[in-house]
Amino acid sequence: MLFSSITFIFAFLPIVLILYYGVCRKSRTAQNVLLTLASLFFYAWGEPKFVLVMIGSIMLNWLFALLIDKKRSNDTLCRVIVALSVIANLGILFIFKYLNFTLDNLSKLGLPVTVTSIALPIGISFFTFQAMSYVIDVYRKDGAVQKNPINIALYISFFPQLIAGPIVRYQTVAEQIQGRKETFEDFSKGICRFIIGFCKKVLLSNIMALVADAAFNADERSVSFAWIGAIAYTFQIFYDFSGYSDMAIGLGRMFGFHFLENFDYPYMSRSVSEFWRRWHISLGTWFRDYVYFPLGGSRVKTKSRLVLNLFAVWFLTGVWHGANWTFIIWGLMYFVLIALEKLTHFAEKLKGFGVVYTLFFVVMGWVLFRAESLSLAVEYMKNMFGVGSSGLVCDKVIFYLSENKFEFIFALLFCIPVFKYVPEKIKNSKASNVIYPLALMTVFIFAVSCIVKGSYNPFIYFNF
Amino acid sequence: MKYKITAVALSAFLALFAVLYVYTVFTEVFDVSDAEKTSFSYFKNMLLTIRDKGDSTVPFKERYIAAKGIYDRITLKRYYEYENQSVARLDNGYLVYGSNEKKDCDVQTLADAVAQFDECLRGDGIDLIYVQAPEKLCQNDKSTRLPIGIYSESPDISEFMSCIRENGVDCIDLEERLHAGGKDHYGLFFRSDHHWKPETGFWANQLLCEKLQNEYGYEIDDRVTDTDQYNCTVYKDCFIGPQGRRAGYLSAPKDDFSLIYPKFDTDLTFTINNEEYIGSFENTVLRSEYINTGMFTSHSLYYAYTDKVCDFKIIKNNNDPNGKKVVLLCDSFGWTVAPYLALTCGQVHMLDLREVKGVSAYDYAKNIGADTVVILYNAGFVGADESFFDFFSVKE
Repeated sequence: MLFSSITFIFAFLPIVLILYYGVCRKSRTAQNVLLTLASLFFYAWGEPKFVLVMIGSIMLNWLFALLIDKKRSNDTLCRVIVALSVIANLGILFIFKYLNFTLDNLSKLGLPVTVTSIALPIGISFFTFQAMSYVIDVYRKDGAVQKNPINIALYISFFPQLIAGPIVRYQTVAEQIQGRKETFEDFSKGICRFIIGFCKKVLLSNIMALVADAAFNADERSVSFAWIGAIAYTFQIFYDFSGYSDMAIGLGRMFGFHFLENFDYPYMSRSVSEFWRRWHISLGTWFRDYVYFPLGGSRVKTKSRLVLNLFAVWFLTGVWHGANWTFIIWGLMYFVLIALEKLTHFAEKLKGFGVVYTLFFVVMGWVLFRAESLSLAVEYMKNMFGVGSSGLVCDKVIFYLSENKFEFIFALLFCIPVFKYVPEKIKNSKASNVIYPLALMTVFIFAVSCIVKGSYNPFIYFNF
Repeated sequence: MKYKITAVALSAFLALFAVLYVYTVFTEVFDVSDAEKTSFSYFKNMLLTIRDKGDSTVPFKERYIAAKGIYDRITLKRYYEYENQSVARLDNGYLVYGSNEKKDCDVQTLADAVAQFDECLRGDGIDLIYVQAPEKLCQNDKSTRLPIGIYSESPDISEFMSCIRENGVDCIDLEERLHAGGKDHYGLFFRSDHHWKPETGFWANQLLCEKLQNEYGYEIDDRVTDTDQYNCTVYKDCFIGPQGRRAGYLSAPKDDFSLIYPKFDTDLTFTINNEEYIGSFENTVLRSEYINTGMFTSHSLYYAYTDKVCDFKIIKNNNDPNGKKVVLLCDSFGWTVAPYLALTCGQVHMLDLREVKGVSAYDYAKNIGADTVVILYNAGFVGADESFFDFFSVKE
């Protein structure tokens, strides 16, 4: 089920809220059971059989954590259990996500393997990483073990962050699973955050998707169309992903959970390293805390070791995003750029120009990310620089820019924290108590009307 | 405080629509007996149905589409994309079908098909007249161009008509005639519907009658083509066609709709879907039940002329039972022509070749002993569906 669907907005969410704050309001256990069942139902909506994979993952990690807690005095054994849990989790991920890709490449190398076709459960990368976080955090004593499997099921499968993140680390919510406190203040801010995310997804990302898809699927494109398409995709993925994160954070808050922020105006970054501190923060910190730091991080004796650590992180980051060479090359591009930045500190000298430098590589990176194959990505990039393109400008550029001028303007505008520049006096004025709800409700109704009309509403997380 | 007010407002909105949505889904989507409602398979089917149809079953759907239309107007959009037919707004407010992909159409092949049909009919002593309705988008008017990057769904009609003429087929190019007569091009069409107005259909019949009388020996009562011999009831601002519904009814232009019917006595038999209606013009070919059906219904007011799409519609003029027989191969543009044409002859057989099965157009004309075959297509349908120009095949 998608957040940006009528069934979710008008049926699933209201029913869960009514049951949560109605029938189950007096018992935390009942509330957790409700949210868990609702989350499994939410997940099973698209493809019911994959919910078994998730339940299997939940049970496995629940048992691993219990074992660790029980054998706490024997650190070697605990390490072995952690290692086993990591192998088991990555094994599940490998079978569903990377086996097809691996066999396909082996067969291309001429090895006698049979290429399989295993369907990818949506969000498997997200919930597997959360599951791993649980076992590791319990081992590290960053969070208490959950004796009740319902609680761990809720942590792993909680529907707001289930299919598109953010990756909520166990230590962030360990205490909230039982001890969270729902307030009307939180509920109010949560619902507003949800609307903002919903509108970002429907009114900006989906429109940008139309432009990007037209450019990427075109048989031939002019230089400007190639650039417009790449920029549109840059906006699409930002407003889609950050919109989903906003919705997840907002929904979590409506049920009393506080998740960490996942985006912090990444397109304002002055270096690629900074970009990755602002983009998909939950994934970045996950890799930092569970891969980069355990390998030694930046505090290593030799530069070659630092480079090796960075390579491991960025190779894995690329692979995490999808089983395709485009994602691996995309991850390795960031490895090269970040390694250069760390070794030479050249980005610090760029000052204001750093934004241009960062955005250039980010946009190029998104072309790689969006293209269906490396050859198509190269062909697209060639078009961007006039090689093999059909002229400088074409009708399509004029059409898409004139039709979507406001979306482009707002997409550009909301990449910077415009509302921070609004004086507090205005923000807290009495008029804002009328204008803010009216504006938000109006935009929300417009966004719902786009969904009802059946406007383009792509889901871009199938690879994750 | 502002967050709390928003939360209250949105919660109320969601609660209200949740109730309406659940009610709509359960009343519109499911149709099962009470006994089945208790079974597991019912529950399973219910979830599957909601999954498949839940997103398209929304209470007040037309209102939401209207809200989307307002949003599109606010954001100055001129192109409303739909899976089947997308709509573009011209500078003068008229809506037309358009596409962001250029469509190729081999007009010569279509013209050759008409010529071959003409030749065969001539061999059987049947005349053929090709009547080309004008395109809603006026290609000569530079002030009402489509947005850059959007292309008309119609092929080059002037090129098509040149091919028709070169092939020696007798024809009436209504676009040429309307410009020669100094008529207002857009005034002939609805703003929110791709059809021409009933008044335009009446005018087309006048031109056709002129040709039939002068060149094909039809004896036509002067009253039939005289506008003064007709009553015209105009329903003001009551019509929003499918193009307008795509753009959203609140932001779409509203059109007047006219019912034009004779002042003189008429006696017709109108057959559609094996049902016969006998009586005066307004009680047979005029289907006034479609008037005042509201703007949100899926019905078009245009159905007021000879009803919905149907393979065969036959109008017999009981005042001239031995009169000429005309076969009219047409799309919906013919619906506002055929009723008036029927007053000039004995029978008009309307065939919609998209729907006709079991007989070819050629065999049908021969079998009924037609005197004349008239082909009348709107520009948007030329090349859109190959069955329009397939006069010899028999579809099963």
